[in-house]
Amino acid sequence: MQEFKTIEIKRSVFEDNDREAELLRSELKKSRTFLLNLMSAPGSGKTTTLKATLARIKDKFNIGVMEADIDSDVDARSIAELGVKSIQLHTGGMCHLDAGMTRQGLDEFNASDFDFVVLENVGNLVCPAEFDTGSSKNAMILSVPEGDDKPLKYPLMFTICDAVIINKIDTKSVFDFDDDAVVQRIKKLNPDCEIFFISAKTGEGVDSWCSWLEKQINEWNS
Amino acid sequence: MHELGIVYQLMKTVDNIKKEQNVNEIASIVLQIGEMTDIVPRFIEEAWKVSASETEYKNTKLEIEIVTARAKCSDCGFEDSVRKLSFNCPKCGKSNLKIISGREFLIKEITAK
Repeated sequence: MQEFKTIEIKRSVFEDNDREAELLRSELKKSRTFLLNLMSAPGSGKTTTLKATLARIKDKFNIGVMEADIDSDVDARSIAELGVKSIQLHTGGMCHLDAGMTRQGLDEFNASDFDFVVLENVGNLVCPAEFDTGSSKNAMILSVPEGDDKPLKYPLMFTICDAVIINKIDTKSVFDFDDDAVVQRIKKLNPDCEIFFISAKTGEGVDSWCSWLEKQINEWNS
Repeated sequence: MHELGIVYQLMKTVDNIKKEQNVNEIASIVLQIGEMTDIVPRFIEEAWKVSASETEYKNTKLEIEIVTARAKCSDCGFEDSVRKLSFNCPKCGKSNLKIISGREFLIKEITAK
């Protein structure tokens, strides 16, 4: 009878997902599809920001949106009203998407036909930060009512993002939100991170976020 | 909920290790979790029990080793646990500290046949 033996592994639990994500990223590069992984807490205005963004760039690119939620299809419907193709991914109770799930969504969507795909990740600042989806760039939205201390509380999320959008700046008179403090806290964790102050509702600042995004899409697809 | 997703990923990784190592049965898995990760070891244990109960890993024991968070001063080389170091090096007073351990989340070893 075979004996049990101890085998040294020394491997990160996330390594297999990271490898799958790298593979997906290289395939997306080849098919000239820019994938943006958009993350935030629930209620930060992710869908509103996305709609304001799509309204400005939808004529420049062939765009698809993947909405990941634990349940319902309200976000996918709301995006479809703009005339942008969208699908709803249900995570079946999971609080994030990993590279495998992202690939399934992209395949189902024939995503290689698109120049730009947005993955609207599950509303959560913890789990999505740990799982690389294979995206070209990561962005997150922090809204003013959530507070300027969030980079201190969820450091990993702010570390992995290429861009942070501070949304709902039109509500600043009601909340104690320190712009300089938030910028300083983000830059300490992630010095190369781009930070945009916007109001998806009034449109303030949205153009500068969109020009950064357009530049990233064009660079990826060139 | 957070730990449950991580345990699913752990199982996928263990599935791959099983194939690579050509083993059929895993008696135990030793995990190393760094103090600076936002992973709660007790919840990993609970999530493992629930998730593994309906799989081939239902009898696999999960052991967790905690890796202390340590930092090193980039200026004078002094090294100690992060908790003791706080934000400034007690030796030279500067704040140029680099984390050298505590961010691990590793499968250290498995016992299998």
